[in-house]
Amino acid sequence: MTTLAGPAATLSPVRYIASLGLCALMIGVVLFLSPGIGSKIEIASLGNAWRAFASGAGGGDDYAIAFRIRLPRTILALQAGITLSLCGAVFQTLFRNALATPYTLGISSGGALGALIAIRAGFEVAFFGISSVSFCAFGGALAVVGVVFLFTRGTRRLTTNELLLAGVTVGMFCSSMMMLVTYLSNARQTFEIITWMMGSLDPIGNMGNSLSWPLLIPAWAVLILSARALNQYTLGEDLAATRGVNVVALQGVCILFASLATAIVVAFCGPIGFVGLVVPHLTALIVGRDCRVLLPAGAMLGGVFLAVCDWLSQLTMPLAGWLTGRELGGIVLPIGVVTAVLGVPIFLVLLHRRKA
Amino acid sequence: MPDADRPLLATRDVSFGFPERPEFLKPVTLELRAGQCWGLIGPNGAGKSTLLRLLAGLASPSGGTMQLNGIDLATVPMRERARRIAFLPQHMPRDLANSALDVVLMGRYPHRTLGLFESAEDITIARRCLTLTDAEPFAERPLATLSGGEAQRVHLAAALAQSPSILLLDEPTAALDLRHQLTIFTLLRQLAQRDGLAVVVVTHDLNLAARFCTHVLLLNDGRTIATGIPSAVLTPAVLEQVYAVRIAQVSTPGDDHCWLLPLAPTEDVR
Amino acid sequence: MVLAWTLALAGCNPAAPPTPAASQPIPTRIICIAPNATEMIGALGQADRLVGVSTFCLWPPEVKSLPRIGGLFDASAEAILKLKPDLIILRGANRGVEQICRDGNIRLYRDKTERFDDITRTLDELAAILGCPEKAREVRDTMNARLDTISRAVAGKPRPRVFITLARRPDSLGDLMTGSKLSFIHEVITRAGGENVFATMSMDYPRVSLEAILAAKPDVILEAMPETPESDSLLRSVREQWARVGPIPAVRSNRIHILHDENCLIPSPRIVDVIERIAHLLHPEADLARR
Repeated sequence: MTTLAGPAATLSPVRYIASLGLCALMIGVVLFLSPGIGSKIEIASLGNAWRAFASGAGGGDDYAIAFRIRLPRTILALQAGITLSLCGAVFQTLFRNALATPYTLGISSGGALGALIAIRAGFEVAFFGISSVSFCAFGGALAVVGVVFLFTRGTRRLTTNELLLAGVTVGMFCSSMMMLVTYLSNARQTFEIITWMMGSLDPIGNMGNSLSWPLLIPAWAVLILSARALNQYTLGEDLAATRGVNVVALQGVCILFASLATAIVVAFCGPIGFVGLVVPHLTALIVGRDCRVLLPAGAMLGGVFLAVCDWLSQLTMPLAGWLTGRELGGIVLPIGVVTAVLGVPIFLVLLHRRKA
Repeated sequence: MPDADRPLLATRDVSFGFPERPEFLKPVTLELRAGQCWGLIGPNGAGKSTLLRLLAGLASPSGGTMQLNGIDLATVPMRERARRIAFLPQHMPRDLANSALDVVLMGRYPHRTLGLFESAEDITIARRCLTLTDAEPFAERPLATLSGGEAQRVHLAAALAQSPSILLLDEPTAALDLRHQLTIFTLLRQLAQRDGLAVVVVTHDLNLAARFCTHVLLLNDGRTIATGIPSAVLTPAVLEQVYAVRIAQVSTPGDDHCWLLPLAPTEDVR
Repeated sequence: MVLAWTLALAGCNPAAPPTPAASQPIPTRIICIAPNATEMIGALGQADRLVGVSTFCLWPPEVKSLPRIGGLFDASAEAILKLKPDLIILRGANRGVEQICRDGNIRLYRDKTERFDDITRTLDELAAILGCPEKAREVRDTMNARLDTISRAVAGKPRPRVFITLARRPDSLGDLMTGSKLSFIHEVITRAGGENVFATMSMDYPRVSLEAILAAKPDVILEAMPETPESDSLLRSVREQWARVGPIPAVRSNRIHILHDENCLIPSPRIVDVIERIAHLLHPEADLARR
């Protein structure tokens, strides 16, 4: 794997706690600021929001905007960012490939195909409070993971590269099927499909954060607890095996849980790009490649990154309107655009600096 | 200390095949005992690395039995096996951002079941292993910044940090300069004779094998040609047959050791 | 929808071609790649001159049996050439179709219906090409008569603040697209006796955030979902979603409606039906003398 150098110092409890504590603090700051930041920043200021919270005035506009719209949105961004970044870091380590993302095995394409089929079929039913689109997206993602996973269980074990190829191929197949479904859709459906593909962090009508926690947290725990075994994996499968790592089981568990978690995010938020690719590398530049600290720190920074991107997606147009004297308040940009616009330059600058 | 009578690792008629070459490695019988340093030699494709992978437990034999301390190797738990057998593959990643010390500390993995951090003891062991392989001076540097030979010595130190009783190495000196070839083989011999390890080393350097190994196993085309002490196996007559190379034996003045000197390929290319 | 779709994605309007001379022969083999123009041709009673339409064209009923040549972006050159058209009506930009017209010396009419007033202008232009200006006048008079009825019925009544979604994410209250006064849908709401809450935005089809909607305090929320079947469960789930947003007047008074009309976003004479329906939703007590 082409690794980007980071600090090479041996991990000590002090450095571990300091790194993770700092990341946790950033999450805390994001959560504190969240009720005060949104596309209509001039209403429901941070102070007013927390005052409304303290006074228990649950019915007011300030309270509704701060705690029924902004905070759930940020929490969703944190959930999605943590998951995507963590799964990206795990896949980059597992596949020893710097280009690996949570979507490398075709999960986003599978999810998108499922969502598209639901949109095309016009299902309007909700199962247990989940929309049929989310439900089908989850199903599509799982189907892809299932196909790739069954591939790994054949008589002959696949090499990492073969696994990647299998995932990419299945993803391409789904993309082609998506074109077919889009082709067969009417104008409104086509428009909805494109909108869905852009990704979104709108919490209402979506999931209920409550629903994804019990699915995401175990996946996070399993992946973070695999850190030491994953460290061995960076030296190669053979060496990891002779060091006592059950490589088949580790690969299976990591692919399964990372894919499940990613599938949940894709189902609820659509395919949000760049977080899973860029944030693990950014984190590695800061804390190093040791998975024990890279995985939890990368996860938390991923959450912070996506939450900040979400704020930018809401603040950019109002700011542009204010600067040009036009009325653009309340307009939201697609989140996938912001993650790319923010993530790519930061990443390229850091990459360039490292080489110099 | 292991029982001197019982081999640490024993194979009986172990064979192995690939789907496309079902009888690649013909039955091999081998007993590794504490204090022995075995050299696995033979031409390219003779099955040396395959045999080493079988010994490491990375592949399952298609026939025969393998026993670790008298127990069927396949039934030994992975972590238990990892505490007994250390393996150094021929090709190791070099572009890691981890420091050399970190890479060596990772060798302590099978000895820790719980806990996130290395103990002070782990760090002491790791530093001692780095010193043994002459890698201590760059302990703090990222592996990616080291030369091929330096990185190789770090990986060897990591294998030692695993505190194994059996050490399996696949061409550990291929990337090393003359001086380090000698220091590494001296170390391997020392580990065997002084510390009671059983060492198996795959090498193409017949002279190093002849000089430092206590035993050699000569393979050709998956078949065991000869086993025994180097002076019995590594004779020009045997080697010329196996390698299809004319070989001269020369001795240096003031030294009773004989050196093998390859001259030219023999005419009849098989 | 197609309007919104076209504007959002094509986003540009190339220079208009020279107005076709009146002396040119009346086309008899028309391909129409603009749903609103197709409807206007239908309203002018000239549907028998159509030989092919886009996949998004819905009306008049004659189009159901016509060959579909694709949408704006995926119009099939082969399908177009096979139909041997003498007039192609195009909305937005499509290099392939423009090339076909240049190469085959086929007349090209660019539909540029953006605002509400453009409906009658386009109607007149099409009527000039098709040689039926009297019919255009007739259609326009009927349209204006019905619009007058509506405006008389809603005149003097308090105008409810209306938020209309033209498109949204299928599953959640996200990417809610609405129309400002720069869009034709604004006039639809105004003529129906409502006040568009996002009228003053500087973008024709902005995607607005939930908090902006909450702050705008709409009395009525209209969700345009053309071509969806009417169902209680859909309405219920949409109302449930809005109920979770918070204290919006429309939620409190349960004035959240879905527009199922297939043409509710197509700027053609048929839009009067939609204005009538919206007026009825905004002013249930008003006498609209519905058809």
